[in-house]
Amino acid sequence: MKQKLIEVKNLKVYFKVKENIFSRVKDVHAVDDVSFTIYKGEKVGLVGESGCGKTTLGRALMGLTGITDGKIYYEGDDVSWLIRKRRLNDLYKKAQFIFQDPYSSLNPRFKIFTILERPLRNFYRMGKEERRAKIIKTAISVGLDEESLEKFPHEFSGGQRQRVVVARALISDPLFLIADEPTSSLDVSVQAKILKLLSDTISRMDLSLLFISHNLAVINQFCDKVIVMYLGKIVEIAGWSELFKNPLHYYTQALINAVPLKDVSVKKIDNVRLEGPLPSVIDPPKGCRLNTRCSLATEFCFEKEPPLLEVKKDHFVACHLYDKK
Amino acid sequence: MSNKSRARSELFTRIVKNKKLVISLVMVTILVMLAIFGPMFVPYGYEQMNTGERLAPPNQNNIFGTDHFGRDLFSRVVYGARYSLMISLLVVIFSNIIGITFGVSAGYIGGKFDIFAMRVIDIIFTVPWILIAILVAMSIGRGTQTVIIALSIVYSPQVARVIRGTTLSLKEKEFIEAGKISGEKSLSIIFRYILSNSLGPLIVQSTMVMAYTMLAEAALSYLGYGIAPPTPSWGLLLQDATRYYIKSSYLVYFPGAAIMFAVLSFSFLGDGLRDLLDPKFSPLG
Amino acid sequence: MDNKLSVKDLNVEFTTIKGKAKILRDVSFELKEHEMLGFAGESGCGKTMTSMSIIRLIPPPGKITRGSIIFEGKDLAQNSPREMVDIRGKKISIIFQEPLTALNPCYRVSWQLEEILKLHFPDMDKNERRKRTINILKNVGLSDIKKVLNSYPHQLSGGMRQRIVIAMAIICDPQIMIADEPTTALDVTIQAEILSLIKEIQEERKQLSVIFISHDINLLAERCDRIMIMYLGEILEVADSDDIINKPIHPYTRGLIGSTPRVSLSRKQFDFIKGELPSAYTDIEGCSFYNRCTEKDESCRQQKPELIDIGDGGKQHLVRCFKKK
Repeated sequence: MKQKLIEVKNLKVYFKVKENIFSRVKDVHAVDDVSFTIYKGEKVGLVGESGCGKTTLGRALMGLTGITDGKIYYEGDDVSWLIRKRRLNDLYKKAQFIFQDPYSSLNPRFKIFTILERPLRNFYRMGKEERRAKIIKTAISVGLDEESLEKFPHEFSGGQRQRVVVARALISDPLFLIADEPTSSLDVSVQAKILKLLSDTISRMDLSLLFISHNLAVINQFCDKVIVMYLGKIVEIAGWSELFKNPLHYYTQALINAVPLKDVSVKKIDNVRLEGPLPSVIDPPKGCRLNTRCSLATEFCFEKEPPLLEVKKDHFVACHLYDKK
Repeated sequence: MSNKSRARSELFTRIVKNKKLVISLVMVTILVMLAIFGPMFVPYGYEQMNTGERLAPPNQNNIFGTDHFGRDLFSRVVYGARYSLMISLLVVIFSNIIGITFGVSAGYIGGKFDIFAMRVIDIIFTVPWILIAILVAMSIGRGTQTVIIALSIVYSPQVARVIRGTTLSLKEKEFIEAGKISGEKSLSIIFRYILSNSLGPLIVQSTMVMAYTMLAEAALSYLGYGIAPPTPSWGLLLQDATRYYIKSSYLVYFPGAAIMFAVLSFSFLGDGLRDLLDPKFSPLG
Repeated sequence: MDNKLSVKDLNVEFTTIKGKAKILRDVSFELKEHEMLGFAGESGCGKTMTSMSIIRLIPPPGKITRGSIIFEGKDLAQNSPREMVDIRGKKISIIFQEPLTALNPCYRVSWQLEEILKLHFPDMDKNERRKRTINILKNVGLSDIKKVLNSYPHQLSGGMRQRIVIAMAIICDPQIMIADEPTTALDVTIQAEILSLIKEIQEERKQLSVIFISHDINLLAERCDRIMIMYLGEILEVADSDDIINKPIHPYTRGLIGSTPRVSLSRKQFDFIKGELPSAYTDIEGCSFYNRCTEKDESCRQQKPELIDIGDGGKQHLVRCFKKK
């Protein structure tokens, strides 16, 4: 029986912008009314192109940005309230974040030992010896040796640094990991090692993972479930093989089609092209966000926003074409 | 060779190849040695007057000559090193304290506080420094403490701007956010994440402030707002020399040369350090 | 048939405080007429440096220490800077990864294009220049050309900017175009469009050969005629794209392809290449892949293998490996 770990309900994250000193303050709808569930032990991929809000969503779940509206539940507890009140230490014990750039996510002045020690010192009361033991154990579990602990980040390669980042995320025993493009700045051969590390760690520690990426091939081979976002909204959610076998949303189809050199098992869908430019996130169009670019758009698509509906078991899509009403 | 010792020998090579750095390090060492140990080895005390030998040009007994009170100029110049260096060091320390406080809080807190703090800094920066010194002197009288307080205020804007710059650029880096989600409190972030990664520009700026202070102190003492006689500040030596330099020009050259030597050594040190701490080389910020 | 470009025994070294780094080691290859040749490899393999050597824009302290680059009967490695100015942009052009930094932010698009024409065709009159500029923008698939011509780079989207950069690269009808990771900074759907555009241009223009550099071997395999695999400044394998993907021979190539995820309906184990890339400062006597190879023996360490053609049926397939004869 699958246990719910994270539940997001109608999450909105809006930022204020002013285009110039004469204009009014406007809202950027970075994440606009997003809802989904992550189960224990699940690796969920969050995919979309620039401006879709995936990074903002990941950061919001971590409390790195504020929340404008909506609720986030971790194991049934409402953490959105904690985020709003900036009582974040409790949140940081439940969830941790893996950043994209291993070259700027480690403090160059800290030894690896210190980097791993800080979360323990800040979150838990532990004796010095106990701390040291835990740090060594965690370092070894990510493939670093004990000598590495005395070194500084600049003495390591990108792949090794990313291992330190993973170790730091794991050391406070979180339930949930959010990884924002964790392998995008790494070479392919290094990426494979880091992905294996993440995969092994997640199954060993029974964690859940939100894997944010623009790389569909990695998501296809790594994640259990996939959420597709476009312009602040979720357009489709499905299990990985279902999504690639039967992509329902026009945008998902366009994304899959654009990936070079797919395996022959994945069928090519003809005549799926996104016409026209990306609309602004400041004043999103009325109705479906894809309406100006979708060749199947009808008049209705310009009037009403399609709700995210479960059209098959565990397969959700937000498109009027599948809305029986 | 392990990574660590390879990095060390690289650092050594970089230092040795940078001529400006090597020369300035030698010069600064001479200055510091002079300041600490010089007074123990000079032939005369700085107050020692020998009225029979007034205004004597450089000779066997007085290698720099004597001033209008018969005091040995060489001894006075050497003592002066101690005062100049000590005052400059204190100014560096205090201007850093003021500047860092303004700069890091402006950069970190941002928003209206940033605007306000930086305007205060701008005002200090715009007011002619002599005026600031005069104002301080008018409040608390002349003397060593006046010079230190006034110059600490005068040079704090430069430090503030440098630190605000480094704070703003570091604030966006992921390791700062990573620190926050590791539970780090704001003070820890400011000291261990931001300031410790701003050391490079800070050190370079400090050597510049040393150089500026030596000149400014000399000027202030010369103008009568700084150190009181008979303390042999180099600036005061120049002031004494004003009346007699037509016939006894050596009274100007020796203190002047000392000031020049000190200012150049710190300027070069700053330049040399800036080259060394080029972003290509990661360790010091 | 004459080759468009013939590179022989090219060696490039960087001399720094740390010593001499061999960036390119005896690189030899041919760029055929009317072909799209892919350069594949990970960071530090030398693919970008090879292209920089061709147009003589190697950043100091790098230098060509040996070798020849024969183009139109002349050795580019021997050319003076004055002679290279006549070639760059006119006979051999290059497009880079980030279109925003490739375009001058202070000038409109029309200016950027006309400048190139003014430089290489000083006798062309204003009308002819205008006509060519408008035409080339049509060739790269832009519509609303008048508006684009009057715009500044920051007013256009990433995809449009890259099209303009491509336009600038082909406006003088070059013989060779080098594309260095031209789509890495773009969204997946735009990437597919730009790739199709480049392929279209290369197929239409009979006098044009394209060198396409990418770290993504799937991307290269979809569009290139041949692919060249580079590692640590050396060429390890060269063959037709299909053969590289389906019948890779060199252990590194196999490792690279095995660790690159591909969208599929079945899950594949992630392959990996053990060990780390050696430093470019080390002098390697034997095979450069020795410390990471799983099929080696003693002889691989003592002598460097030559690039040998083991292709059958008239198709060239070059491999640098003792074990594959």
